[in-house]
Amino acid sequence: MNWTALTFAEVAGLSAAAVAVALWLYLRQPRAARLRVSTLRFWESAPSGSSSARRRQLREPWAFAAQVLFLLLLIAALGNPRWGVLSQGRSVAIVIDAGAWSQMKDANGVSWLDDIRAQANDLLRRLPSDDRILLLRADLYGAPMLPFTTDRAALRAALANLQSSSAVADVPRSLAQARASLDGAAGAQTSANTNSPRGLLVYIGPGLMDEKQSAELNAFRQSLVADAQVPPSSTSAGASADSSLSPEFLLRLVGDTSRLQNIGVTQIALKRTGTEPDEWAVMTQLKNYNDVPAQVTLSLAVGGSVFWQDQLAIAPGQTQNASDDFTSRSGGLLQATITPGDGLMADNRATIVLPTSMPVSVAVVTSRADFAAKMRAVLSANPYVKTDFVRPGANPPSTADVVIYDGSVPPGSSEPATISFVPAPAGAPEHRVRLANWNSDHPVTRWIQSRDVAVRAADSLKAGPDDVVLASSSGQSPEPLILARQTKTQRSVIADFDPLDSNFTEEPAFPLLMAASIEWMTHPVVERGDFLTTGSLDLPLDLSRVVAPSGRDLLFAGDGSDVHFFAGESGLYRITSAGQSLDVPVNVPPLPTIPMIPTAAEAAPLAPQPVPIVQRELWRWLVMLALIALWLEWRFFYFRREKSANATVPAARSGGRLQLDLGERREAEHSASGLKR
Amino acid sequence: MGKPLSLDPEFLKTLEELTLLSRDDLSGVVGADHRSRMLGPGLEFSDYRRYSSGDDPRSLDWSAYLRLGKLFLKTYRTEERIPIRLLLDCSASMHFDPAKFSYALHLAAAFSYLALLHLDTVAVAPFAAHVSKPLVVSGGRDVFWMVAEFLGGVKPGDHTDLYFSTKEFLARFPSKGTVLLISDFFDEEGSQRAVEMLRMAGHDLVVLQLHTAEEQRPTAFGELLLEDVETGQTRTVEFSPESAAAYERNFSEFSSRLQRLTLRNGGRYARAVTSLPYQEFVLRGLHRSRVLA
Repeated sequence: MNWTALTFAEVAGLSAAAVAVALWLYLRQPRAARLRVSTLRFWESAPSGSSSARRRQLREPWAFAAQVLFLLLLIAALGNPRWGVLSQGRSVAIVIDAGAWSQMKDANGVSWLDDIRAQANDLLRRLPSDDRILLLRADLYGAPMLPFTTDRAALRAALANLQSSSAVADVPRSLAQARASLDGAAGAQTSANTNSPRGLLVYIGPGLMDEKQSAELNAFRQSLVADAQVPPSSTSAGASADSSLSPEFLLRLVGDTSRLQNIGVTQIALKRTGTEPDEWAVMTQLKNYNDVPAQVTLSLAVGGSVFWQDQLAIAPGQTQNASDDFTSRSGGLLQATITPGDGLMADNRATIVLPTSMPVSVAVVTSRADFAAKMRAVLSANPYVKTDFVRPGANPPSTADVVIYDGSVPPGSSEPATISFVPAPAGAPEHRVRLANWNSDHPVTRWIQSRDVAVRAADSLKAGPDDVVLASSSGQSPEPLILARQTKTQRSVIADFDPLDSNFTEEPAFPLLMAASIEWMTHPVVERGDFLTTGSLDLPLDLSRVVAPSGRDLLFAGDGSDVHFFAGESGLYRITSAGQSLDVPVNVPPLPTIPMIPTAAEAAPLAPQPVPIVQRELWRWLVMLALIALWLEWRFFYFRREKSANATVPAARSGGRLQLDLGERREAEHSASGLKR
Repeated sequence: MGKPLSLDPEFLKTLEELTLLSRDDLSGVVGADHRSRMLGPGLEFSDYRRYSSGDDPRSLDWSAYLRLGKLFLKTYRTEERIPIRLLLDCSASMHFDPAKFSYALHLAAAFSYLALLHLDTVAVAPFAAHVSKPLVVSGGRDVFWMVAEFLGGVKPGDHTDLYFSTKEFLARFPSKGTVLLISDFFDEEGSQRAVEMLRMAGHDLVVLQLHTAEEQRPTAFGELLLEDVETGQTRTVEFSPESAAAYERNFSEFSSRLQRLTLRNGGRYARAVTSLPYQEFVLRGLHRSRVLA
């Protein structure tokens, strides 16, 4: 017999407490009730109530026994005992590999995912009904699809709803997680004093891995073998030896992995050429997963317009690169597509974001030719900057994004971004200081360092509340030499010296300061495109929502500046960041190709299991018996009292209607024979 | 003086059809409705007898003399007025339950009305430790109000001494009559001597035992602190269903002893439980126990 709801100790403890309470109630003597009677003569036969020995005597022993029986049966029913040896069957963990390879279709158009479902359903059919089954996905961090359950309908429904992902499955990691779950389940069964047979771990999938995963799988197999050889007595104390029993490991592979008829786009690299801001170099990499040569047509398109197409011959198992330079100012999505299609359509197309070309217009206001020459040399190195030179007094172009003043910014200037170099006034005393203390926390001067740069300070800068000191003089009392000033509508950088009156223009810090200032005032320049693939993604964004290509909202984790989420699908992810939506293309990564080679034991059919013992639940019978005991108590305690009371003086029940029995009546009639009216 | 006791008019009307039976060897004052063994002036012809000197010549049957030549005298049954005495227990045990004492008062009133209805003399004598001042009335139903007023003013209390009370009663009413003793008779020793004394005095005795259902079968169980309402004595008992059975057995034996005592002394016995309406007890119970006809 097994107690499933309570332990035997709990049942015994509860029973003892209940019996004690019942005994106390039966022995308990209420305080004597005061009763005025017409005479005491008839109460003489009643026992005296003052004896303490009498107090402790059970007045209704049979009723008490019936009540104790009722309580014991009721508590036993609460314990939900079962007749027979409790055996919950095996714990089975099924690892389903529904990664990118599961989308592969054979010549008949049947996907490997359908084979996986069929294999899993077949396994469910063969497993005993009391086996507890855990379903794990190998491609989502080993996330459980269903916790341990014996509900076959729920398991089949979960398998029916299973969809392929475009991520690469991490098979060893999923298997390790499944084994940890099996160990935990075995430990739980051991603590419940039930028999815990050896667990079963089954992998169902195409079984394709990369070299790292293949090595990890071998290590996993070795650990299984090593644990199986450890005698139970050598296990550590605490958990039972059963919990460390290594599970039986089976492989159920699907698909013909010897001939992977697939050619896929594995990489797109995009980079500005450096000569023109809107000229890009694209490199596309294709891979032939098959064991025969393949010839495909690669098309590159931006915004749906094909701008490059070529036929490529790819050797078996090799990669092939294709490069091209192109010009695009509008930006958009760059898509690489290969034709004809093959068994795995997901990697026949790859997409990358092509940044928009946004040149910066800079106006330099100066009357000095050497200042203009220095600025031209610095600004012309940046192909995204278009420079105009304006003499003082003339209005800079209205399209200018940044205006550089050689001298103070004239009053009334309304440019949104300005850089000004304020020289010392003529005739002012020579005041040379060393330029130092670069502010590494500000984006303008984050990467700037300088060695011996001495400038003639104009002594005109006073840092206001909106100002950030970017650099100051060295020494005990540093004076601000370069300030960054930011208001709601304007950003400006102010240098308190003439760069030409120093060796600052000879230092690398000068062009860095100009480039960083312009970027801070306008926008950063994207030099390349990122090729994102399925799996874990880390984006430098402050996200509020991520919507997968299928329309599902994804869970994500972020710390305000970076966000992390798992992309299982390939396609365009709609990401909401700072009130704006942007599309992020995610592609199928290069797929692993090393097949699992199952051992004979791993490929063996499912070993027959003993027919599970059907345990009989006893709580219903116990409740019925308890009700009978309750009825007996009532009968002993109340019914018997009524019965004895009724049987004692039957004549008294006549209620005084006729108090003469027949003999007395005859005597009365005899006496009344002499009565007169 | 308390509020006069009232009886149900319909019940009083029913009482007019009843007669209080009494022993036929009793003699009383001529003039009531009771038939007597005594021959004398009356309306009902009884027999003839030979004339002897000193007889009333108005009773001579002259027709018989003309036919037979001898003097015969007509005799008639005399209708007597028998004294009815009610000994009413007013001790504290009778007031243990107010309904019990009320029941006794209504029984006394019913008997009084019945006696007055038949032109008998009624004496109502309340007693406890001794007999209180009795009420003696006669003159028919028109004086029933006096009885009702008297009974309304009777106050219960004190302990029962039936022997002493009977002695007082016999000293006050030495002539024979019908005595209705209404009590719970819990003073058993006194009851026995009282019944014997009344028999010795030649009274026609009717014993009416009155009790409540609770007195016959207590319903309280457990540890009880009992207090006798008359003596004030207390006793703690453990009262169980078994004890209740013994109690009922004791009560039943007590009632049987009282009944046998009454019958052995030529009296009539009836027992009333207050749970039964007194009208039904009077009309049916007393009829069956040959107290009323």
